[in-house]
Amino acid sequence: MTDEARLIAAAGRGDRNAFEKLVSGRQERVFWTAYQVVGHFEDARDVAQHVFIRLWQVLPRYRPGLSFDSWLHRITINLAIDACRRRRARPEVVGSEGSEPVAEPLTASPFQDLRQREVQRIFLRLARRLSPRQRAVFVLKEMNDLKTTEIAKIMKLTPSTVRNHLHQARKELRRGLARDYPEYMPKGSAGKETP
Amino acid sequence: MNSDCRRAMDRLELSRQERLAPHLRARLQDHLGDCPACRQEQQDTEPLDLFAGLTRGGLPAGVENYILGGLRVEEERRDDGVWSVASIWPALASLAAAAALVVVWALSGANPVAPGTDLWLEAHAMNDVVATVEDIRSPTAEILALSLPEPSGGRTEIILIVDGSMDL
Ligand SMILES: [Zn+2]
Repeated sequence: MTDEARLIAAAGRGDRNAFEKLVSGRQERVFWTAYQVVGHFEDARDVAQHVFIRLWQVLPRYRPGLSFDSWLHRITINLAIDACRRRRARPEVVGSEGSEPVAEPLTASPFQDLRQREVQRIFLRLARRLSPRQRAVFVLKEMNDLKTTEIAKIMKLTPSTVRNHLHQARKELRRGLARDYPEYMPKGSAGKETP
Repeated sequence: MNSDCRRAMDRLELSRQERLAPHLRARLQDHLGDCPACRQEQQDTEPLDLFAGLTRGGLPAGVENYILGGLRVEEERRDDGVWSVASIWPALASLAAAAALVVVWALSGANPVAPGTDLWLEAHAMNDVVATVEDIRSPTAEILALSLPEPSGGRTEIILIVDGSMDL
């Protein structure tokens, strides 16, 4: 039994220390993944909170068919997509569109920080045109570096559907970059040979 | 886009991930050589690493406390054993008031709904009871399976059949 499996088993029996160890270091990934899918700070914070509440509730039933991190991704993505749908269903609050987190990803230097903030703003603006699923696939693939087969398992989609969502998302984001932020278009990628 | 093009585009992503067999990769290259539409698609769907760092870099102030605060409440709830069928009836009554609740019945044991869709929602019921909707296996999202852990460690599943227009 691995250390992680031991922690999962103990947390499932209600051991709070084990649960805290299990989730420490995973909150950041959960919050930012939710934030990039949902696009609103308060909603992402609520999603992150619910992810860990749900984890605490369902951990006794965890069966290692999916890795623990994939399982956590599944809970995060499901709740984030649900939050997107709820947000779309309710009337838009004036001024809430594209609300930004109180702090943004930290990077090595102030210069990088500035660029990262700008990149964050660009993503929030352009990603509004994506469906929640396209957005979730893009976030898992291009930001969390997961394989498309893993994403398929997490989202319970066929790998081919995941690849299709990924293509649609990249196309839309590239189109937006070329139109509104041409200085951010990746250089030399056009026409590159397929590996 | 015809079926050859669709297949080529699906294989393109596998090729990028270096998961395509050499003979299929050669076939893909042949297709790209002959098909301007797919060459354009290839350019338009190149990976974008511009946004790669956006899920790393520390939690914004207050988020960790917010998460932990919610967890503390939940842990106390689990300790107090408030999860029981009886405790959610007020919530179900509120749901019923919000939309036409057609049938409610309770059962335990194996998941009674057939595998099908991948929809998944969480119902935020009233009275501070959060009922988690585990599976929706109906294409019209009319059947909701609510699963609640019981204090004894057992499990109660409640299936709601609700009006299709109900928005959870
Ligand atoms: Zn073609």
